[in-house]
Amino acid sequence: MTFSRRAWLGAAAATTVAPWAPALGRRPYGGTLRISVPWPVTSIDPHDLHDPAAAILGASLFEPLFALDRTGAPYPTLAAALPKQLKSGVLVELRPELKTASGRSLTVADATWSLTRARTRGARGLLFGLGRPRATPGGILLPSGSPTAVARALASPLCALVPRTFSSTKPDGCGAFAAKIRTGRITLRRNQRAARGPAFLSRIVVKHATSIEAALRAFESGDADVGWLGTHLYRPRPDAVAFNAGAFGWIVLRTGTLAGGAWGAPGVAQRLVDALQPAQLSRFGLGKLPNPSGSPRWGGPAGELLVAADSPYLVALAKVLAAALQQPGHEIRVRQQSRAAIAQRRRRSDFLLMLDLVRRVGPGRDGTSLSLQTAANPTLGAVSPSAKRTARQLGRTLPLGVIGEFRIYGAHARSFVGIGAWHLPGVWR
Amino acid sequence: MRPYFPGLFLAAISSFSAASAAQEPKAPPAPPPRAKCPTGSGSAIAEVACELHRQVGRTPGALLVASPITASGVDGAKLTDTLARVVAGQLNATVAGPAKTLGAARNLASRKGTLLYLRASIAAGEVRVNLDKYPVPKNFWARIRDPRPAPSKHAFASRRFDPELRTFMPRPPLLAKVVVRAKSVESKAVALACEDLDGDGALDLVVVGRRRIHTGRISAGRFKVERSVEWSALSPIAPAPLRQPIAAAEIVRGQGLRVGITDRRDGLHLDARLGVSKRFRALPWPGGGCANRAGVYLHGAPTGCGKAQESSDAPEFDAIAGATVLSKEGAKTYRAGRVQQMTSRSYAVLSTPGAAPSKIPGVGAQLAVGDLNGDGQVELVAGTDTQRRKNDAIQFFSVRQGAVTKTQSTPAPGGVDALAICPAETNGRAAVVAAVGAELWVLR
Repeated sequence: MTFSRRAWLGAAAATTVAPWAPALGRRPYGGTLRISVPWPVTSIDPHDLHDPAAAILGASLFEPLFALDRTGAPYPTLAAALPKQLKSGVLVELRPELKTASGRSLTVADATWSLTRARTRGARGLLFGLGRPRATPGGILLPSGSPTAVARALASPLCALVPRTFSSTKPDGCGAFAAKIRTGRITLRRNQRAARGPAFLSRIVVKHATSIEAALRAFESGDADVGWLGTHLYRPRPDAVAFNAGAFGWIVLRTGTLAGGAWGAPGVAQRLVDALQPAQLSRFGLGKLPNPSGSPRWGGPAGELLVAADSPYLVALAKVLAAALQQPGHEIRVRQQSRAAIAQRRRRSDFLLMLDLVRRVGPGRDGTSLSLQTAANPTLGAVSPSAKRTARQLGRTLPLGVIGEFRIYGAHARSFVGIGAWHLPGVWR
Repeated sequence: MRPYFPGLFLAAISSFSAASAAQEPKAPPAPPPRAKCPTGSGSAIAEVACELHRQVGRTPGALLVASPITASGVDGAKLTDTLARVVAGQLNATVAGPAKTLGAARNLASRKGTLLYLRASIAAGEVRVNLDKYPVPKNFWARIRDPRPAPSKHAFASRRFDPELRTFMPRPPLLAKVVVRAKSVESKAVALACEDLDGDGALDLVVVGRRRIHTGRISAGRFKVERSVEWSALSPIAPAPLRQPIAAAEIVRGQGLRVGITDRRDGLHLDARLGVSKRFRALPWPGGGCANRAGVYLHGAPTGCGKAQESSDAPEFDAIAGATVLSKEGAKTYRAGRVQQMTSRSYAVLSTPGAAPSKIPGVGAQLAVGDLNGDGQVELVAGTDTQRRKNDAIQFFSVRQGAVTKTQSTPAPGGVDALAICPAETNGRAAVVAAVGAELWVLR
């Protein structure tokens, strides 16, 4: 993608702090937002391409070096300015005096460590072409790429900066909230050191729901302020306001090496999921599904459909899929495993079928292509994004099939303002 | 004019000089003139007299005569008389009575050694005083040689109107009757300041945006920028800026502009050319001192700029304003801050040392403090506590002995983003400048 001079000038003029909010009476600070999600809330890793908690809450806890404005032009956020072209590469200068929520200084060494870590994880396809990042006295040096390409790549949420002491169970970043993880919940508190401004809300409590229905029931009964994937289960809540924040990733069905031969080939998974009846999947909020075509019957060896045990959403979907795909002689059992085990088997492609979440790496079809290609081949280096194909079209060339989008939508209590875009730092009541 | 008898003329001068030196009464040793006279901290007339004394020095035995003031609505005779008496007292001179023309003054001073001729005028919210020291021809020949000698010294002083000067003028109304709208340079200003920044005697307006600071004047329906500077050239970004910035700006007459915004790390003292003369890590509090950050708010207790916060139980503010108001009791610094409330109406706290703070409910996060009608009492101007721009208004509150009265509310459906009170430019009401969306409103 190329950038016009106007886009660059716009980017240069853009501020690194949060967009304008009307002063007047000012948006009030304070309040607690309660969310119940059928997803695991035991850890958050911004560099993990498959971490659902990072997809839901990552932007509230972590910040990348750049962000993209509405026109797609990058502007500095944790960087002090747009990247500079040097003879030795592209230099990114870090803003001075940055601190993480825990009070640690975020230095060039931390930023370089973060990018190196991201490069070996979810941002692999995105960063591989820019070379290995190096800490220099002036900032972070990326040996390849143009300043534009570097800024755009580093605007990805998968390139968020974290301190070198980072742990996904004790997440620490420069975002608007600080997180504390306890059994069954993540509590986000306003981060007074936030590099782009502390959040308006004092707190967000995210609880783990044991099922999609339980998450919705929590909203209906007033135990949560956000209805996940719907406005109600039995009867509408009077103060419910529907919202749709859009897609933050995709739910995919993978085929692994255990499928063997023709059933493990690229495009098989996509062909199977394209044949599913949309009605079977309606409660999963997967976005607009195509009219079914072909047969959804699995013809490969009988075996297991792997799914992360701590993801009630995926487990429920896996059960529907297994029932829809299997046929006599080709039975499919849903096997729940820990996320660590799933990650290991994903890396080795050591499975028959696997249900997975893939986070969006970047905007547009470029981002779609990067996300799915990186997800499809864990050992892949550089990825050439394709701006021409949709997610499903890409799935026909990959060993994973896109079932639908991972969308954040539903309803929220009327007293909260700004949830619609799912930019939680800007939500107020 | 050539003297007809030069030799005689010179002899006469020399004999007169010797005689006058012998006859001049011995004055007590004059105190040295003050190196610097106060500005805005006491009586403006006394400060003017101090300035003139500093420039002219003591002139014992001189006759001080004032020129009549002609300014509409001003009690010129009384003002001239008061000025003449105070200045004469400071200079150890004698006052000649009612105002006179220079010719009449020369005649009156013919028996004195020195004439001090004072001319006062009222302009741009100031009293401006010229003082000329004339030698007086002592005899016939001297008068023939130079009947109208040029002044041997000249002095000038000016001060803004204070409550004492206001007593010589008609009391201006508290209500703003005229709203002048001009196109602004910033679509959403975050702070305004109004004073004479460059010392040219005319008011300057400073418009602070999130990216730039501009100085200029309103002319022909638009804000004409004289200077602009990018924030990025002045200060790095704050380590933890606020999503909704809090900004403050104040022009300190003769000293420059104090400005700060929570987006940026440094609060700044800028000169008239917008060059940095001082940095501090706090927000300048108009009226003096600074406000330190307290989480997402500002500490309600002012500190020295760049100084650590002392513990206090003051409330935390999301907007600040302040001003020094001259009253009959002297200069008083008033500070205002807004306390944000989630469940009830937000309110402003207006305080001055030695008095209980006043609570003013229902105000927005745009505040300005000053004396609008020059009566020595403070007024607060504020936006409305609303999240909807179309419901916004510029509210005027008058505070008398702690009692708050809302005197006016002017709807501003574009939303009030910033407010400032200008010093009075005429003998009327001080103007209020409001940034309303992409416009600047001047309310007189």
